[in-house]
This record gives sequence, C-alpha cells and structure tokens, in this order.
Amino acid sequence: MIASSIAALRPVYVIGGGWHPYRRASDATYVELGLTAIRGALADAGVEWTSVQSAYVAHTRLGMAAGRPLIRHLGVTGVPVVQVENASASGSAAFRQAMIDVGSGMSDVSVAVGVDKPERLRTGPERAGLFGLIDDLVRPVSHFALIAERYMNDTGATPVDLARVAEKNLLHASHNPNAHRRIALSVDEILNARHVSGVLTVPQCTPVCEGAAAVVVCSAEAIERFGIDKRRAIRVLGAVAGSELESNDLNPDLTLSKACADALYESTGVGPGDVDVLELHEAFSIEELVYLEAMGFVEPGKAAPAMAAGEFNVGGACAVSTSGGLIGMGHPIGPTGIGQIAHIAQQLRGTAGVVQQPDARIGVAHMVGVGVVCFMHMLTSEFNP
Amino acid sequence: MTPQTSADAAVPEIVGGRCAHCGLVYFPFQSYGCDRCGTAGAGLIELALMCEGVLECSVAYDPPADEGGRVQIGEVRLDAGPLIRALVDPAVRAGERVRAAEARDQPGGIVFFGDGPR
Repeated sequence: MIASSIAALRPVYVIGGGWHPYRRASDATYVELGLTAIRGALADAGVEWTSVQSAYVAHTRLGMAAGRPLIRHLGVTGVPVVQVENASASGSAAFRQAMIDVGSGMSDVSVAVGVDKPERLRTGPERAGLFGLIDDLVRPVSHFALIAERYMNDTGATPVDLARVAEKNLLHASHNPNAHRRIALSVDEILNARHVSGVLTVPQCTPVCEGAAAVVVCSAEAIERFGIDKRRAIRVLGAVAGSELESNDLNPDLTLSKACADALYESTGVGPGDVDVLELHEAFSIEELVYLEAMGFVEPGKAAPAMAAGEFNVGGACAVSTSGGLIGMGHPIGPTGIGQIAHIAQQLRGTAGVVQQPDARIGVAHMVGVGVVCFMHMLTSEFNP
Repeated sequence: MTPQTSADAAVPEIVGGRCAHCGLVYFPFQSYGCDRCGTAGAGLIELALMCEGVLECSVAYDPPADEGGRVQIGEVRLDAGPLIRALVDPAVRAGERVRAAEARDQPGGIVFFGDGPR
C-alpha cells in the first residue's frame, strides 16, 4: 500500500537549506559536519535555532543516539529529536517526518538534517539470515550492472548512452561547491576509466562519502510570524512513500518507483510533463535511464535517445540531477535525500546559478533504499510569479 | 550457501521452498513467511531446485584487488521458477540454456555452464 495523501495536512514550506560539502572521509567528526549544515539551513531560512520545535536526524552509520550530541551545540532548548534510518532514503524519510510534524500542527518549525561518515556495515537484509549463492559478490554495482545489461539487450542502448548520464551529472557537479566530484569528464574519459562491473566504470558509480545536509520546514503561520520572504518559501505539494511490492523479484526498485510516481501524480494532479527539475537516485548511471522511464518522463526504452537529444539537460524539457546527482554530488547516504530537497528549493527560488533551469516551478525528488523502500516529494514555488 | 547434491543426481540442487497456500516457489528456503501471501511455518515446504534453466544476463565483475580476480555473475531463471544469481561460464550468452556443475572452491559452490556437450 503506497502512502500518498497529504490532504489532511496543512501546507508545509521549505524555507532554508544548507550543506557541509560532500567529500572523501576525513578526520572531521560528524558533529562538525552536521552543525555546518544546520547552521547553513537556519541562516538561509532566516530563523533562529530557538524557534525550531522538532529535529529529525538521518544517518546510517553513526550508531545509537547520534542526534543529541549534534544538536546540543546549537544551544539547549529541549527540542524533541528523533533519529531516522532508512538506508539510502534515510534523509528523504527524515524530511517526510519533519513535514508531517509541521503539517499535522505538532510543530510550526522543524529541521531535518542528514549526516554520515563512511563505514562498512551489515544491512538488515544481510542480518535476516537468508543467503543467496553469491551475495558477497553481488554488491550494488553488480546488481545495477545486471540491470544495465538487461536494459541494453531490451532497448538497444549502448555503453555510450550510459556514459552520457555520468557526463551530464559530472558537468553539473563541477559547478556545485558542495559536490564530492567537481571535475567534468568526457564520454570517452568515462568509458576508459577503471572497469568495475558489466559496462559500469568508476565515474558511473556514486562515491560513498561523508557530508551533511539540512533543511528547515515551517507552516504558513510561521512564515507570517517570522516575516519570511514568501518568494523563498517552497511548498511541499506531494509526498509519497512505499516499500517493495513484488516477491521473487531481483529488481524491485523499478516496480516500486513506478508505483510511487503514479501515486504522486494522482495525489497532486501534476504529471511528469509539468515537472521542471528532477533529482533522482542515480547511484549508477543506468538508474537514471530506467527511473526516467519508470516515472513516466519518457516512453519505455526511449530514455537513451532523449538523453542524447538533451531533453534532461539544463534548458531541456526537464533538467535532471542538476545538483550533480549521486554520481557527481556523491552519496553520504544519510544526507543525500535532504540535499536533494535543498537543491530543488534553490532551483525553484531561481538561485541555482549556472545549472538554473529557466522558469522552474515544479521539482521532484526521488530516493530508493535497501529494503526496498522508495520516497518521493514534489515541491512548488507557489508564491513566485 | 552450499548446494546439496544427491548421490544419483546429475545436476546439483539447491534448497528452495514452496508455499502450500499460494504456490510461490522461491529461493533460498525460509519459513518466516511467504513473500506473496504471508503464509508462515508449516505452510512453507522445502523444495529441492535443480540447478538448470536459462541464463537471462551476465556481467563481468572486477572485485577490489585484495578480494580476488574477475568473476562472471549471471542471472539464471531456473526451470522451477525462481531467478537466482550465481557464477556462470563467461562463454555462455544470454538466452542459452545452462546447467550447474559443482565447484566447491568457488563462491556459491556451483558454476553454470552451457547445456551442450563440454
């Protein structure tokens, strides 16, 4: 059962976003990373920490109770804090909880922050005691390399088509001061980089890294009370969450993404043709092509030619992964989904700089996570002309 | 998981399961509950799955340097129904019939080869 209705909630707005740049693991503590992102989001929103009434802290690898040691350094207010873990979609889930908190009227102002440091952990599925024949070898990269192989066999797409995804997203990332990879590469450079699995080379795989991202959400009443410029307030128009739908399916991400996208469009009355900017869970280049099709942005089997024609570039029909995506921006995991929201808010405010999509009014964020889970959010600049 | 091979079986078998309620055939065996209908416990029955079927696709994977050399990972649709992942002979192409042979020194304990003479 996909959860898609937010009709019972009052309007919720994103009023600020901030990051600690995503990067290779360093000696910095997660507290330093998280505080940088929260302080950035508060400054962007123009509100004080003392106004925040709840905090949701997304992470996957920081152990028990990581939230309080982080937020205590913002000043003691007694604010309720909840840790949120949902694999790659942890940040998206934390944002959803903050949105529900404000939308339900429990809070007027809430913060969702994601922060993580790289560390290899065993996942829930690994601890469930069920083992395939070669689980240790079928890491995410080979899972998606197999999907790429099927996709190329089914559609006639080529390794060049997949490399174009990384070329586009690395170009976007080269303009993003918060991105892990800030060097644009050509298709040839991408194809000739070190092989990992199937047709996937290193630049077509997300770097799992450290970093932090935060957003501040609030109610319409709070916008009035704090005198916030409404043109900077980005409304949450839709929110969808679901988990794996089919049994015996080695590739449930696509089925679930399609179901969640359909639910998002039905609940908002806004279809993919109306979406100006899209942030996808493209940890591997193939993912962007298959999710674009699953979410209805292009007919099945047509994502590669549409990509080659520039439909998903800045200035195209829908600008995709303008933050740099997971391939360029990086994937610190806990922060990733929140960073997507903060970047879409920049786009809808018209402050995304070189990667600004002209006249962007509607943005969608999509994340999947091991489990499998899927979260989508649709945002709109309702107060902009 | 080590595949089980009966003395008179020409093809290795792995232990999957069948749901007595909805008929779902799955791998690996578990009795937590059926993925499709939720039936649990005695309603889930162990079922030996012959390791033969059709290779749907495969990729070459280069693990990190300290974890061994290149392997070919395939998705095999067993004749019994489940789609499993296992090591496959790089010479086999998608769409070809495959059958497993024991390979105790390899991850998973079996490797799938083309179903023709070899």
